Amino acid sequence: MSVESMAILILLGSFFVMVFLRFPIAYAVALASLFSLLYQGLPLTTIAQQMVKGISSFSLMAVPFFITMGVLMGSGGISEKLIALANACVGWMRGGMAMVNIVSSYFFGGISGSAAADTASLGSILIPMMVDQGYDDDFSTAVTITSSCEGLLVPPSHNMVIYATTAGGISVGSLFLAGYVPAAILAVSLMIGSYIISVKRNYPKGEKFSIINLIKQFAVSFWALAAVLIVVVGVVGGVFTATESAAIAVIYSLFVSVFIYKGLDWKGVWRVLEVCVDTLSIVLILIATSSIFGFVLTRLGVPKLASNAIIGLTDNPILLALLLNLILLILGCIMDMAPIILITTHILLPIATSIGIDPIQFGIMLVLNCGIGLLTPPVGSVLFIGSAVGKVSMERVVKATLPFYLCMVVTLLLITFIPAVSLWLPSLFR
Amino acid sequence: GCGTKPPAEPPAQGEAPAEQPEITLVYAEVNPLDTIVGQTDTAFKEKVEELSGGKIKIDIQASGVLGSENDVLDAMLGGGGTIDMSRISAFALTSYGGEKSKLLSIPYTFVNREHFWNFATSDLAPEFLLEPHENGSGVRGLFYGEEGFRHFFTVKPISKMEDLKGMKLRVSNDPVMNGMVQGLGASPTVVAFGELYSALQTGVVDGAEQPIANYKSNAFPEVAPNLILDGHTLGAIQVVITDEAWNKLTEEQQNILMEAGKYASEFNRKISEEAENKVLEQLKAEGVNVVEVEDITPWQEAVKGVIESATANNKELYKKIVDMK
Amino acid sequence: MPNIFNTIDRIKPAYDVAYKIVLFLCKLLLIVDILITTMAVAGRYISFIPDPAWSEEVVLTCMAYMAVLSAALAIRRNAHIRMTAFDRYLPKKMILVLDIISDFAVLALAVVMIVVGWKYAVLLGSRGSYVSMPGLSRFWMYFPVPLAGIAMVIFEIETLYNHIKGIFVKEEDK
Ligand code: NA
Ligand code: NA
Repeated sequence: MSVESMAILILLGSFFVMVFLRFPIAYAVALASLFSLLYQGLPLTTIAQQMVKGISSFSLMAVPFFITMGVLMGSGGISEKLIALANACVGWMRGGMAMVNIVSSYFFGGISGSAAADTASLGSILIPMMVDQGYDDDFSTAVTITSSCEGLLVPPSHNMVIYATTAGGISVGSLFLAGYVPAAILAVSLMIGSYIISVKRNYPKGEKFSIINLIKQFAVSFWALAAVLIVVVGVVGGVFTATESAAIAVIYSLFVSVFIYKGLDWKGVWRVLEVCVDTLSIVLILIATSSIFGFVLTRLGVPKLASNAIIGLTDNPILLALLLNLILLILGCIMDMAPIILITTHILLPIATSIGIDPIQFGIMLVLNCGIGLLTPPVGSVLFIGSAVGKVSMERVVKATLPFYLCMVVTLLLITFIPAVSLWLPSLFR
Repeated sequence: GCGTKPPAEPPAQGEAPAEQPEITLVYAEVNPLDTIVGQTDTAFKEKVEELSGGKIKIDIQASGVLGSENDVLDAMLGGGGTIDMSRISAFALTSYGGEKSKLLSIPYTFVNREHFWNFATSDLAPEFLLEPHENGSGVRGLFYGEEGFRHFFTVKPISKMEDLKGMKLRVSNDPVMNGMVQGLGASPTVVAFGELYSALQTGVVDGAEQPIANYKSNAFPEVAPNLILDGHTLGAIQVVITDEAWNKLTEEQQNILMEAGKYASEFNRKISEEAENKVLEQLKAEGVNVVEVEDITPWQEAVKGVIESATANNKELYKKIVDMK
Repeated sequence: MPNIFNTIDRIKPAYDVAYKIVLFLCKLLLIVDILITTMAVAGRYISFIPDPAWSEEVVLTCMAYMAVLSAALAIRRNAHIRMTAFDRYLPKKMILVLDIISDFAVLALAVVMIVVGWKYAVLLGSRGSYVSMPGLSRFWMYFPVPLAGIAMVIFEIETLYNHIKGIFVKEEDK
């Protein structure tokens, strides 16, 4: 066995053993990397460097800020008002709050472009709201994290920019347009999935729809809605970036909670910050240590090996298309999105085009595959954030997400085999 | 790393100079391989492998998979052989005590390509390349190249320097670049590179600056189709190797690297002007509003203060470079 | 046996204080991050508010400190995400043993982080600075790693002690 294969075996093998031995995943990831580095004779200082590098991403900053915003909204009375409003809108429908979650992710995706930020922001507001309304916490978290993947497809999407740049010669504008329909299909399939589950689990149904009540609730929740508005208008109008919008949203929620709804005093704010730190304490370290793991995997050429593995396996275009998805899904289980896109694009895109998949269509496939990877154990940042924000154990979230994985795979197959899903909208603007 | 590895197949009997084991050097590149710099990397790699008869392998990890230039330098300076070599912008060494390297990225220093190459082939160049080694940083430069002049591009149409006044321009966060933007009457704005496309689209920033090839490959013309060819800095690049990896090589192998470096440097010189002109033509054909700058003097005047304070420690050396035109 | 434990248990208030101090720091870092980011946005539109070039790097460094320090707190709260799916099939003793094994492993990792983290921070500190602040050593960028190691050791020792105490105290009870 070559040094590389042994190093890969040590990395992945020791990691899975430690996970099953109930090691905290954040530290199991770091230890597995440490063993592999030791075996390869590489310096352990890599651990220090990659941990810091892992946290030092400006777009990641949105996560702590949005979690803080959500917690402030929850304790300061803003969420309460939004619950009443949401109820007035969709309370008549079984599973209405799940629909709200899914639809808001579609729109919020148009702001943040990041599934992690989406789960952090909407999750920390909506999961407590849903639980409050009688939904199970694991279901609420599962709906939140899966629908956050819409944000990867709805423009703007940082990962699509990365793909376009890596692939070369692809218009980011067209790629952006290509994301709207697949994201909508994903949303619809998730809605169908959650409706079925809501009926099965007998989730609550509120009073009948009343336009007067709706108008009343709109008026009552003016200040709460303004929070949403500030973020949307601010980002779309180019006042600040998505990441910055998170900080602005914190300041605004603070202002409304303390001075307008008076749900919190300054002491209360200080106390509430503890909840934020508690949540962040679980999430950020995972992102930091996963970065070491990703670096070791990259340096060992694992994504390259995996991608090369499907070359020459078959000439059948359907099988090949399925294999493309499979390899990306497997990589997604253990790696973060950006490195997968950076490494596999050059290997897999030629295969995809050889069987008639358009580069734009492939970009959408790639992004959704990696998005599913963000929701899968053992390494999945969105899964971790969801689990921390929803305060539900990882296994329970994964179990509750099982039916939604199915919805996502159906969407993925539609994208893979029906080019028009991705290409129709951009073709209108050519 | 650059550890020695047994050859994949046992050598046939009779040959096999046992004292020259195969060596693999891990080489980091931030850009994809099809860019000017990526092609330069490949030229270097192929020459090294040719000259060494395949005994020295260069493992190029492109597209930034090993991290940004600063990440890569942090790994290289930390030692231990995680990354042995890298192609970086000379500018990146500024935050690692590269006082000399800094001079290469002072705004409006090089008047044209010739000027830069006069420097890159002068006696001064080796001294500059060895600066990090002499500083005790543990890396040394092998050769210089360039990825073309950096220019400003904006969302709104522009035709002259004055049009930049009051605009929010995204530049890297180092003090000299920030000073330059202020000197031009605009305000430097911090935006992460990954958010730049969206930031231009929504209008968080009014413009940014990149070499022409990067401007196109990052699809910025889609959202900021106005390019003013002020050429404030020349994107000087260099290939660095850790002292650790260097010292493991025999003198012969070191010579091979230097030889291949010379070749890659010339290759880079040949293709970068060609490639840049080609991209510029494409951009014009795509409808990008390309503005030529007839007289660069007012731009130079505008940022005089920044140039003076940034070169204060190395006045004579800087003058030498300026005089090479 | 319990006597020893009673003696050692007297150190618990010190741990409570340590926890509070670290928590205080984490909250402060979070606030600083939010304020700097807000200031950078405001500074773009309001001339007397600065929009400094260092905002991004400082915000990221603060986040790194918060990430690692708060992670050490999570050790004490036993809040880190781990796979607990098979817990109900395992005997209690077994889980306790597994906990102790993982605690020792994390302790070892913490020591590695202190040693290599310190070495790396000092080395890089002597060789580089922040990009936006040439005057500020890169040491501070990597110092969170050894610092995290120290905080992890502190809280891991307590956790480990509690687990071991769990074994003995239970046996005494029998
Ligand atoms: Na959601
Ligand atoms: Na995953």
